Amino acid sequence: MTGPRRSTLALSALAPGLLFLAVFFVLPVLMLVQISTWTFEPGALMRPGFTPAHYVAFLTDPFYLRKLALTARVALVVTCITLVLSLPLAYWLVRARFAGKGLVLGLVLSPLLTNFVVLVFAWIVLMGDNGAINQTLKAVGLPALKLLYSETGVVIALVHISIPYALIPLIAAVSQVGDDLEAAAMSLGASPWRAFFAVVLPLCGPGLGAAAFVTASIVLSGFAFALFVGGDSVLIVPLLIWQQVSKTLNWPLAAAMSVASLGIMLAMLALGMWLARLLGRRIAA
Amino acid sequence: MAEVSLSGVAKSYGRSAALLPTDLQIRDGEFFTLLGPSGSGKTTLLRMIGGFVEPSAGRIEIGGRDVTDLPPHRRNLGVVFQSYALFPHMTVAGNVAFGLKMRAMSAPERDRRALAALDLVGLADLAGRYPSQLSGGQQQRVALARAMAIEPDVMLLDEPLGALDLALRKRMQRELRDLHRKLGRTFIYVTHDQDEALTLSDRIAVLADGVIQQVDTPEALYDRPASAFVARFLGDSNIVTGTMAPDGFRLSDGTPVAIPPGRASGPASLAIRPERLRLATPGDPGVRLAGTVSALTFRGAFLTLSARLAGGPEIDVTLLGMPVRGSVGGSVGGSVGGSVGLSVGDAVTLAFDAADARLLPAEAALA
Repeated sequence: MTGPRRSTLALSALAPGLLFLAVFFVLPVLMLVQISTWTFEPGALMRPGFTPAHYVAFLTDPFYLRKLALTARVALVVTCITLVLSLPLAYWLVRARFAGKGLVLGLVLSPLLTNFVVLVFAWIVLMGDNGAINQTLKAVGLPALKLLYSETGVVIALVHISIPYALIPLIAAVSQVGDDLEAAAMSLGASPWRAFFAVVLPLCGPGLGAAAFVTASIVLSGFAFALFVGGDSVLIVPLLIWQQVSKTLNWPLAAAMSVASLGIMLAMLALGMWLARLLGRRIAA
Repeated sequence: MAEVSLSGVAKSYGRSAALLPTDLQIRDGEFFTLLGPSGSGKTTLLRMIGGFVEPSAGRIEIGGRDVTDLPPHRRNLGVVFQSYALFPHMTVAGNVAFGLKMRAMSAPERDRRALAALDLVGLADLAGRYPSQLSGGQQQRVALARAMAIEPDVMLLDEPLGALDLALRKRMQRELRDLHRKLGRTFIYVTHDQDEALTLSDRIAVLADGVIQQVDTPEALYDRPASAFVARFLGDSNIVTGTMAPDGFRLSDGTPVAIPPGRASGPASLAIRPERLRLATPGDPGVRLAGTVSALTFRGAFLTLSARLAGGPEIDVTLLGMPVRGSVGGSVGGSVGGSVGLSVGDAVTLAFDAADARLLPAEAALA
């Protein structure tokens, strides 16, 4: 096939997807950026204009700054715990040979297919002050934990919801590292642990990056999880944005908070990837 | 440097046996090949020596040390994989130095030794490249250098040339032989390629169905196969079934073949290499076989004459130095036959020296 014809064909195949993205993603984001600079008028929602006031408010107000720090902490903690739990699980799911592996894989990924309301209900049953977890703790003579409406509870719920999403890129990443590579590392004198850290982990870097990205996105977009498990006590930024949209009706502030947290998240991701690459090079050297 | 000794080593997965209890002594400094078709247990055996597969029974000793329960990283073996298994995120130098790093060697010493190992395979100037920037043959050499750099007691090579094209494979065979001679280390080599096994090895173990069929030098295996399987697997062989009678061998229809009775009476097979057969000359002192020409096939450097013997078996004869003239497009073309003075359907008498024939136990399954 000739060059120009080929590119025409490629373009026509890409066009529907690109058009969809333009209309339903790029345009709304641009509108969001625009709205974030409009002025807020109680009763009239917003008025076109150009003011940095909402950004200034969000990024200087001690209350918002504390909540931003809380959000960053929750995102970081949830992402780290999710990765630390998911990578060994992905490794095991790829490498282990046993009957019923498909069933286990299905179970692990089942939260993806579970209705959100059911998950919330399960968390409340498990984590309530008299829930299953605390009753078990009491039964063995340990003090009860404050889980529901606490940061710990929110972190647990977010880790739970994130693991299946993180597993998908991680399983793909581990499958690409042939087990010959580990065998070679071991034959050269590396213990199984050392082989994992020197060979498997660095080669899973892109998969880990993708998993971290997905997990952080879940934390920063999943206000509903935080709302039901954390209530008013864990006000992460997505929850504040939701409050501004649905209760205070200050849409320009909500837009500014969205744009600012998107920027912060992208910066954190870039930093994370840079650190990971640095670490990967350190390990390889 | 070390000898390897297996006693009663076996492996089974559930109810299926990958390797039946096996005893094997591999000498210090030997180039030893495990040869067999896929599923014969050769790779399982190698992986057990390497420590990657746990034997179900038996004992493995390397250099007099019992390593049966040692994990791979404590066996000090150099392993070369068919896939090369180079670390894609490390440079060539990084790959070769990896094992030295695991041995907590200082960086300058590590670099010096890695470079020396790369020099041995002629790749010192590619030390800074990444594996993805190398050709298949170069990757293979890096894998060899990486395994040798740790100065292993034994080198284990699992079909290391399997992924290379024929020309490169021939060259690498030569290099492997030279390397083995230079290093003087014990090499254990797995292949399904009989040609490769004959070319490289000091001794070969032929495996089939999880059992070692025969262990010997390439020459002895070729000349004195212990079974029809070995005779067929190493080179071409005519296997004629028949009976050993008190007065000599008889074809299945009773035609006597003047082979002295070498073993107990009963069903037996006679193996003769095609190149040990000839067209009988008048007064030929050899053992004679009468038959009719069933095919003549031009093979380039030689001609293969196929003849059907009384009682049905067909045997091939290699005819060297036959002048071949004219068109040879058709394998049974008149001009091919014409150059030998024979054509399909002609009666022919073949001859061989009794010492070149090998009496084997009858083998019903492969008859």
